[in-house]
Amino acid sequence: MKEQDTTLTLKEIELLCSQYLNCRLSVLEEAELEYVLGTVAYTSPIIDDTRLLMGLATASASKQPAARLQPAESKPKRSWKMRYLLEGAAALTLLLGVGFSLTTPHNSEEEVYIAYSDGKKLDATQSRLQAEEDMKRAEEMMAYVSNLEAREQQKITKLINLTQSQQ
Amino acid sequence: MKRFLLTLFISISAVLAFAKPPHLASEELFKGQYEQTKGVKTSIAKTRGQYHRGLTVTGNAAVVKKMVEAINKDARRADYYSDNSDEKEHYTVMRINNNGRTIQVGLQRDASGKNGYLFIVGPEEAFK
Repeated sequence: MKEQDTTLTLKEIELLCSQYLNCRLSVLEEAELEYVLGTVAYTSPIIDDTRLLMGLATASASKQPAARLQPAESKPKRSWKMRYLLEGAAALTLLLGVGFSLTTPHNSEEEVYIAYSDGKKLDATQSRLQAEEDMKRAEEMMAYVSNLEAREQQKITKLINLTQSQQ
Repeated sequence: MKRFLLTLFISISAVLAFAKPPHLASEELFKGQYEQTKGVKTSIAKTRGQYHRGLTVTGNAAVVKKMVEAINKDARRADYYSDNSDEKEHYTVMRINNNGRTIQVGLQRDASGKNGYLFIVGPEEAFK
């Protein structure tokens, strides 16, 4: 039995491509055209357009079968970058959250007073009184020291001015 | 996932390492060792976001000496230090920065060396 001659000419392939672009081919015929375009090296504008639509690479002049394009080649790189971006964003958000909770005051309204005097622990009321007395004493001491320093500074300034005026 | 967890762990460690308590020598005087001592008054207060500790000593030169030693140790970390005297008393005041907040420490003692008053005051965040 003689094998049917299936070699197509350039014109015939262009005609088939034209019919493909006009959606006139059946599914089976489209599959056959895809096979043909993947194996032949013919090239023309309409043939190249059809190959592009089918996802086939343009055939080279050496008549090697056109390899199917890998449209998702860049996908792994994109997803790698996106993953790093998401990880960084999540870590930064958590870091800000932890930092915020550490720096903002917690229970600042809560008051605590504990006091001991001459070997005895004082009750709540007496503890509060003693603590408030201590706090007042600390404020008075700081104010007094500040006053002492100001007076000392005045003396120094006076002495410097006196020395300079005598020169 | 592993990389994310590692990044997270390092970030949290960095934050926790950044905020730390001051570990002042003066704070060691409030660990409870003078609660049963005659002639000594201790007070600890936390109010309106401020943390205050006071130690008043009457007729006990040993405790006053400890207070002076503690103040001298903390003075090395002070951003501001002041030492003044008048006819009756000797005053030492300093400011120490911790966690970006200011702690004030002061000591008042008389010429006999047996009576003194020490305080530590600052916002709560300075002691965390």
